[in-house]
Amino acid sequence: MTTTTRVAPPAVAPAATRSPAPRRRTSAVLVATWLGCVAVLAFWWQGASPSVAAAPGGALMSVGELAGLLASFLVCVQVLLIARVPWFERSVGFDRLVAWHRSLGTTVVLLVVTHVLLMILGGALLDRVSAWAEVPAVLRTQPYLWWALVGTVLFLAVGVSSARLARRRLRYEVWFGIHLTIYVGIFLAFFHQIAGGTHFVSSSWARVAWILLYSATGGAILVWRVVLPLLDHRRLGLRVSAVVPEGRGLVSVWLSGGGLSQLHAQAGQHLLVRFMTRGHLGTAHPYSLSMVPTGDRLRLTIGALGDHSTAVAGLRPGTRVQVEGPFGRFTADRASTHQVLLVGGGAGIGPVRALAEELVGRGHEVVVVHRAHTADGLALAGEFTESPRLRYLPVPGRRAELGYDPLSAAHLRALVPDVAARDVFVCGPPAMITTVVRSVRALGVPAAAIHREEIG
Amino acid sequence: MGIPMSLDVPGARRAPAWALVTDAFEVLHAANRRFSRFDPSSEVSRYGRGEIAPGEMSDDLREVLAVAERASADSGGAFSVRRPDGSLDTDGVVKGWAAQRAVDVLRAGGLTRFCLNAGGDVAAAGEPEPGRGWNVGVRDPADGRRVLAVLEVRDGAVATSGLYERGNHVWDGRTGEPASGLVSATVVAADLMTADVLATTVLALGPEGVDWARDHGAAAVVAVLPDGRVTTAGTAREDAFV
Amino acid sequence: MAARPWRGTLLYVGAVAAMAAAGIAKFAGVAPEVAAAPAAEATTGSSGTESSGTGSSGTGSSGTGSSSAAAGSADSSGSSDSGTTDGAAGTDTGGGASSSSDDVTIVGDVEQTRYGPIQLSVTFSGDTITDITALQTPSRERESERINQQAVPVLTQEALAAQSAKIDTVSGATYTSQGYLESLQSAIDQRG
Repeated sequence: MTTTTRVAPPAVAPAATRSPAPRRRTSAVLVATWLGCVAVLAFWWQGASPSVAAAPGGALMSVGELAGLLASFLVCVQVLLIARVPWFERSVGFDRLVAWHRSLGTTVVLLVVTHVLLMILGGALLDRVSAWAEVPAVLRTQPYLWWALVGTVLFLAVGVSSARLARRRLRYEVWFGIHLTIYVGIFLAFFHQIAGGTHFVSSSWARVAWILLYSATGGAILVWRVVLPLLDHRRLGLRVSAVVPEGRGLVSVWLSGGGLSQLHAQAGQHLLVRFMTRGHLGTAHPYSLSMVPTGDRLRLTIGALGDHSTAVAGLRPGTRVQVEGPFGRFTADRASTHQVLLVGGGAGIGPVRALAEELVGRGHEVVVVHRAHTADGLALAGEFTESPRLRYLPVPGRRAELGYDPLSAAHLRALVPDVAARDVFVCGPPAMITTVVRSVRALGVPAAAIHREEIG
Repeated sequence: MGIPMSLDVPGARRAPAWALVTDAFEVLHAANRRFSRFDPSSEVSRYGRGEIAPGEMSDDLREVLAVAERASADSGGAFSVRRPDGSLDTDGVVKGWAAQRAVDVLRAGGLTRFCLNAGGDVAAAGEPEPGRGWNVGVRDPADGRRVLAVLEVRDGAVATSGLYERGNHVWDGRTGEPASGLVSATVVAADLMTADVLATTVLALGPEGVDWARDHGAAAVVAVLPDGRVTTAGTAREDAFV
Repeated sequence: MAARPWRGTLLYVGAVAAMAAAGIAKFAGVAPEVAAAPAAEATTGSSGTESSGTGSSGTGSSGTGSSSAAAGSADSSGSSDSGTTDGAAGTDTGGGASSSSDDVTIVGDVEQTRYGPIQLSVTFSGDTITDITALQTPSRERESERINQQAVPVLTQEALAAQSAKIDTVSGATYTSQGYLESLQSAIDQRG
């Protein structure tokens, strides 16, 4: 199935020179998080009495409480990052949110461990017992501590399973299942804070505020990850209409449905897709559009990168599909110059193909560099019809066999001599993106003019 | 001794009151040093071991012992500063005696509105707010955070003796047996020493001590029986109960 | 997707540094030994306001049981003015008091009781007591000995009977500081 790119010139041609690109402002989300941490610190400060430190154990416990407070607040931030709140998505972008979620997760788990250790050590010092004896004493005397203990174990399980080393070895479904238990852990650990935490027991304002914080977080998850997607699913009514192998491990899945026009998906964006059939129901995957969606059809091109992606080839037409999104800011709107360079590799060729169509349609002049291991791995090649405003440059071959890297600065310049005047969109595996970004920077493209999306 | 104390002085200027308060507390400290049973070098310990001849006693010790004698006589022997094993235990007298001394210091310094609580013994003077006296709660023996009754006191003293803190530490001097008829006894009197001694004696005497105390200087008595029932005498009316 | 692989751990290290700094700033100045004569400390407090109503109290623990009698300088009480005790918006000194440079912590002598040694530390913020902590508690009765900051705020919270009945003080047989701390009197003193 091929489509032709539109050739008709647009009504208005975009500027021929590079317009000043908008600087990415520091995200309001980041600012809010910092402010929140400062507020937590201030809350701890005013509630900690200095007399406590007359015994060293008391000071340790108080700092341990601070660690606990920070961890507790950051847990809410952590959950909100992936709650798919539209404001966050627009302001930060799905891929950055996920990256932040990964980093913050490490911080939170470490803070929880710190909190537990400090409370045990401090308490042991105060009570003049060994740390080993302090644990049962604490469990006996503090309210909801058993719950918190179970919650902490869950936190550790989630943290350990998400560490890079472990995550690579685990099947996605197993990892995701463990990850979901974090909600149970958060719930269990909440009560010992309100019921026994020094700062909360003495101030009903603090308790109210904390309950509000957690309720808002829980509410956000419920609304934007459960209720709204379910409602959308019913409204959109998407189904698989065709499954087309594109060669070399790439498969295109066509979706159709009455509500497609309400999706407002743009070229370059991706959807979180859940196929409602056995074997695919459990997880949602991000798949990019590989074509500008029409009023009644949408195409995703999926690379065989994992268990699930390979199974996609076996999908039957008529299967219902639930989608969330669209996500991503890797869109034609970001192009600030008339001339644009698109670089795609692997499954990244899908969004590149869609962007090429969109950009040409808007009047840009586009060069596409398509990188693959072998010539027959150049999927969707037939869709890049050469035209005055679209040049397609396939670059097949493994680096080892070629003896050089075709995406290095020197070779890239030979391919695209005027790259310095172009906005660059690159999509594909992380290693490829790194190489391309380095090359075009060396060739004089400003950082603000480079747009990237990782696939794989 | 070794007891916590609090002092409530409404509307006082800080510096002068502070000095008075320091003096008052010094009185309590001194009493503690002299009469501590747990300190082998205190005067009462040495006296108990026979290391001090009657002529070498300090005035304080003499006075305390005299008070103890009188109380013992009045109660027919139920009150006694001698434990069954023969050792000397002046705690029943000293706490109230020392606290009263502290109160005297405050009065001498010109304070007319205050409420001193020395380890559960209360001395009240004046009114905390115009129109009402000091509201003194009587601790519930079963739960330290609750009160059984609230007594309104102006210029008086309230002392409580009970088994719930130190267990069986009060003996009926007549029989040598631990006092068991009452769980706690609270006495309202004109001064703390009287109130303290009376409270201990009522506890030692048991339920019959409630009315006995009224004849020996108690303005009111509130006593709790082992089954939880409360009996009163004097001006402690039923409607004062929470 | 490992654009910044150690970012999370670095964040954590930063957080620990911040916490340590906060802990030091908050606690480093507290000397475990007692301060000078109470009179001098009293006048360093900032608020000298007098209220026409009730509400000043101080607490000290008396008594040295041990032979090292460090005279009256060890303990003191203060007359302080704070909110009314009527349960209106009184200052919740239990756990929410702000610490200022006027904080004075007075550590009582070790008291020998029949159960063992007890030592209390009382903190005044200006004129109000903001904390009472037991530094040493008897070695028996392990379960009830754990007097931490929580016991005091809990008492403050649960002293509802005191609020409604306008109880100024409680008469009881409190012979140990432990009993005091768990008593309503302690809660009343806490509220100021």
